[in-house]
Amino acid sequence: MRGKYKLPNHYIHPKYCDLWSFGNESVQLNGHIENAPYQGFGRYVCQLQRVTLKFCKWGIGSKGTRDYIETELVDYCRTNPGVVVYLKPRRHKAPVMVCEYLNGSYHWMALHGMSSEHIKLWVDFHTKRSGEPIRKFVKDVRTAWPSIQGAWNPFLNTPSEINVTPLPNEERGKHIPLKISATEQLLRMQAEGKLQNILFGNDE
Amino acid sequence: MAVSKVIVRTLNTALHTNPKIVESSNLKNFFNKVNTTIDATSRDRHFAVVYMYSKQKLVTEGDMFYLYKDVPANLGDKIKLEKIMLVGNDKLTLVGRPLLDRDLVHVEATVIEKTHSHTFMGLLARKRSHCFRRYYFQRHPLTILRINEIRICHNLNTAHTVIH
Repeated sequence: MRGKYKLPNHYIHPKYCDLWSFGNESVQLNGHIENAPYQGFGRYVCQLQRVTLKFCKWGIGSKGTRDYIETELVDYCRTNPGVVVYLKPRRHKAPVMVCEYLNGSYHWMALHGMSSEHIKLWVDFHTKRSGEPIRKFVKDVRTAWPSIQGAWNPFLNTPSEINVTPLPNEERGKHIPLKISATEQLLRMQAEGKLQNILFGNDE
Repeated sequence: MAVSKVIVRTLNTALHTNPKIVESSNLKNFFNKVNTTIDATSRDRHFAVVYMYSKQKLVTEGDMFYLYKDVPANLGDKIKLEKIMLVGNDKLTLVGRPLLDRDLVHVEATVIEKTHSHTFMGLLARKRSHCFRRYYFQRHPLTILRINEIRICHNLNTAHTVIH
């Protein structure tokens, strides 16, 4: 082959192939809004249960993670007493955050080269989430009561005489034209008495 | 006695024939009927059309809906939705023009989740050209709310105090 082989524009790197919310919208995970069934009725329950920060004590990629642990982490634990934070130092490895939720799901995230402010934003983001995967919502409202006044049907406001009348009924089955025909118009004019004036003129 | 009887009779006839008085009495009857239904169905399940961030949502008690906005309220906060376009139940419907009075309807919601949306993809390409093709990916902030309560607070055409 001549020259360098160019990848097609729709090529997706294998690193991103198994992500639910990546690529075209038609490919992404879709469904309804999901959350813990008790959430919002009584006390608010934080769905994030466990955060594991894995980092290196020496590497420059873990610099932001170390800064975050020194400066921000104690405040975070004070404001969120329901969340357990594990710190796992390990030599010569890239920093990683794993968030585990109450519904059993977890989220793995690389923190390599991130600043402490950036990590703070992501930790707060995961604190506010329920464990459900991010998906495209097919409906804007999730409800157990789709209709309260009952679904509309074409016989909703029809007169109740139809229940009694035998069918086929000539009056109900009669063809009703959209426009009045010329014959019908003339007949109506004659019934009103206007037709005579047009044909023969007024005597006076 | 005879004279007074005659006067009463004439007054009665005047009341029935005067169109303004007939109209007002009809209106009074209508509003009485509406108010009695409001009282009778105060414990029933209501639905409402709420207007938030230029979107209209039809919601009932206990259901969840999303907004592509970072609502300025913390998680677990209860907020009162004041822009209500319509409220109803099995027996009656109240329609606003376009909004109902904010003291008439009480709709309460709780913020239960704050995330971001799925990825929106935009494509910019030139016609009859293979080399120019740009993809734009974006995700918006997203808030999920749960409706706690929908209630009609007071009868129509009655004096009410403003809730501060």
